[in-house]
Amino acid sequence: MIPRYQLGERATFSFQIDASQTPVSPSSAPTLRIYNGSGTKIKELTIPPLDTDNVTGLFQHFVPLNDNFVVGVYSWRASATVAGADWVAEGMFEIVAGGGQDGAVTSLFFLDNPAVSHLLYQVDGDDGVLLARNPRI
Amino acid sequence: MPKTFAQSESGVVYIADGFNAVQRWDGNTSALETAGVAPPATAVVIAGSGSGSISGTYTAYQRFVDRFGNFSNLCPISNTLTVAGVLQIDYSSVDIPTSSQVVSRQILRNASGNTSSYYLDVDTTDLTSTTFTSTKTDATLTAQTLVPITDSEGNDLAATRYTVPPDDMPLLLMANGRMLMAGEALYSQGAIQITQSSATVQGIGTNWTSVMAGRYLTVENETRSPALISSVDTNTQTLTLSAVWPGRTYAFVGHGIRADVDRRRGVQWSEAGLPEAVPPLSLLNVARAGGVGDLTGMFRVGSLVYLTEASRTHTFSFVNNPALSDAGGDGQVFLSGYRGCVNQRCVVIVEDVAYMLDQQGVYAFRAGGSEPLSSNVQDLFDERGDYDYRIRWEHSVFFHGVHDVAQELIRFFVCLDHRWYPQHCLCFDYRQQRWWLEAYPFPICSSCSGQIEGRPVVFLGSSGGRVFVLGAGALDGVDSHDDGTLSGTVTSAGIQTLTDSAAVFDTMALPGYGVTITAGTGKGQTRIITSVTTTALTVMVPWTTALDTTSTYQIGGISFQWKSGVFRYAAAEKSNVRELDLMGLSGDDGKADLRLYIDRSATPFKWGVSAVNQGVRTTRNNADAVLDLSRADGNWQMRLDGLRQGNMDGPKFVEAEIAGVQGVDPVEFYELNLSGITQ
Repeated sequence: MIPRYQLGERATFSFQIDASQTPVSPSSAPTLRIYNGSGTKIKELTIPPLDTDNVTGLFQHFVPLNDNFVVGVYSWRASATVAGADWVAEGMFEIVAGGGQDGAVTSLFFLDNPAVSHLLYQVDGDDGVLLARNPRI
Repeated sequence: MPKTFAQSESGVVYIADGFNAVQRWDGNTSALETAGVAPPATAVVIAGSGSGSISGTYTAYQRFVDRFGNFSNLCPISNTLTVAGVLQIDYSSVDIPTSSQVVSRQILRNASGNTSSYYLDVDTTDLTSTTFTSTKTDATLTAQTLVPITDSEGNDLAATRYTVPPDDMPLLLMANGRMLMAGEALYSQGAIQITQSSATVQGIGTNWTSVMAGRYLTVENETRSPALISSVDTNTQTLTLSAVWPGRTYAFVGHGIRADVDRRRGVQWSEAGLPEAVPPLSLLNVARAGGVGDLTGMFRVGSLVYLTEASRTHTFSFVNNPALSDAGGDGQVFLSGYRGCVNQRCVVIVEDVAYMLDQQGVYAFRAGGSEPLSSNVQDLFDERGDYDYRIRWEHSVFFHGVHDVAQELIRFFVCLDHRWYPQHCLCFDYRQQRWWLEAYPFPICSSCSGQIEGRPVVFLGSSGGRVFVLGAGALDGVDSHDDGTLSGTVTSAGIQTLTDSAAVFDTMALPGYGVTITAGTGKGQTRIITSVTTTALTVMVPWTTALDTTSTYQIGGISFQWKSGVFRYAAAEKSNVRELDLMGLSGDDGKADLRLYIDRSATPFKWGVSAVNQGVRTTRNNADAVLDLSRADGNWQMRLDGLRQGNMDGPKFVEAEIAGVQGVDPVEFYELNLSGITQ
């Protein structure tokens, strides 16, 4: 089963680079490319190491599923160079309905003014702050 | 990094996170604005022309004004002009504001020979011209508004007084008419590629912001001094250091970006009544009061401000000037206790008591000292213990607490697993001194107290941009009046689907919310709905136990579980009365089961007979005694008669458990009586 996320979540990309099934450190940080269902590349980024002190070749990154993404199936390909040879990993993930591109509401503030009250909330999709007026159930 | 909010006495909200400029919102604009007014960058050029009566030696400044009347600092001083009998003063190279928040510009000029008092010479809403003229003589100039540059003791009143709030301090607090800022925003996401003898550093998985220029880069495993960052290219995620990197070359390595060491334990404050004017010299270092770690939080109780570290709390008091006495102020800072707080959001103030979460547990902090509160749930804080639940501190930056005013509860939302955001909370009834644990079907990333139509409520921030009201309705997320069928019996099911041919599901409202199997095969499973047709639900994760036509479901159902302590059966030589009597309130909806655990068994006792009696239905070889929640009297009883002979083997201990799923009608149990026990 491929990993499933909702919009606004962070897709986890985690892999350990190896040569002949032995973890190795690549010559540079691996590149991750994400493609939509039509094969169009929609994101390319380099992936940081997770724990260089204790684990060789382990890389991990959390990609926010923001307005670059819609509901659907995506494929990804990570690549690096190890001792002059190519290393590649591939996979897929699916974004299912029920989320929101804004991402998670990571901070909230209730502003109570005499005439009108507001909720100010920070979302992690683009690190912006949104405003909502007169909150209701 | 969660942002911090603080509201000024005038109602303006300020927002900080340590990685971006402080923002403000006055409740009227459609978007946030940058707090403070950045000063003109270049000096005005001053000259005289024509023939007239202006004579003397002059200098000038320019400053900007925003729509709130906030001033910027002054631009650099102009050239010195000495004239005799000119008609007018000509200003040129007058800087143009780049911020849309600036609504006017002021040019200040001194009266001849007086270098400490300047007067408003030009006050204009013209934001585009770079030249202005003035025909004011000293006599007319000194009749204008006086703008003192320094006070009688030589203290600055204009040059740096209106410095914009610092962008590197993530903690905000309004106290005694001033905005206080504190703490350090350490950035360590991602990694860097750094090359020996190069000043360029490439980010890997970073999200650096432009305000990081002027801060310091530390490189993992490198003991050399941090490198000063001179600029940041946010598009390419590239840093330029002020000098070439003398250390080793790394293709990828961990890093940290921090403020100057003096600021990490520092507190800054604004001018009184001017929250957007934060002079740079208004800095106090908590290390002077015995501080040993970074500041994690800042809160106020009454007139006193408290500063927390991970394991310390300091009191910070002031009346007029927060600076310490040796800096000319009346401020005092002193160590108040050896417990701290995990972050700014894990301080909940109720009736002048601060309830705080640190790595030792939850405690109440008062002026007289601290009182540990969480002994009943202390296993959660034991990092060495082998418990089902344990607080994971990796993402403690996202922990938060909130006061539920209506319920008189305090909730601390924490991670009990390796998820990014909290999905559990420690709930404390501060009147009854009781604890329990709550699990949520969605991440609860933030919270705050508020009001809806005058009623106190708690708002919870979640994934997908959703904000929930805690306790509004009996179901999680869905509306029992508008969202179609919410409960029923499964007519068919697949590995990831549930079909109820009699249902009319709301295809738009339900994705993203939970569905719980409340009875029958697969009971107890909860899944998140991902897509909906009129009669079928698709869920995100396959069912662990396949459903069949005995399975019933509740959408948005809130699961609950309560388990008693261990009680001992009374010793008796003959069978005696053992009775369980449960009192509660319920409507027609919802499901609840009663289970007994005998002799400390990890698995519940399976009933020996199938029977229905006093609102309780048992099934032979099944552990769940199903409560009929439609009983009007809200009373359920079970006879469990038996005996426990002395010195003979037999049941000795009993525990009772009630668990179920709430439906549209709230389920409430308030009394359980066990007869035939001794303790």
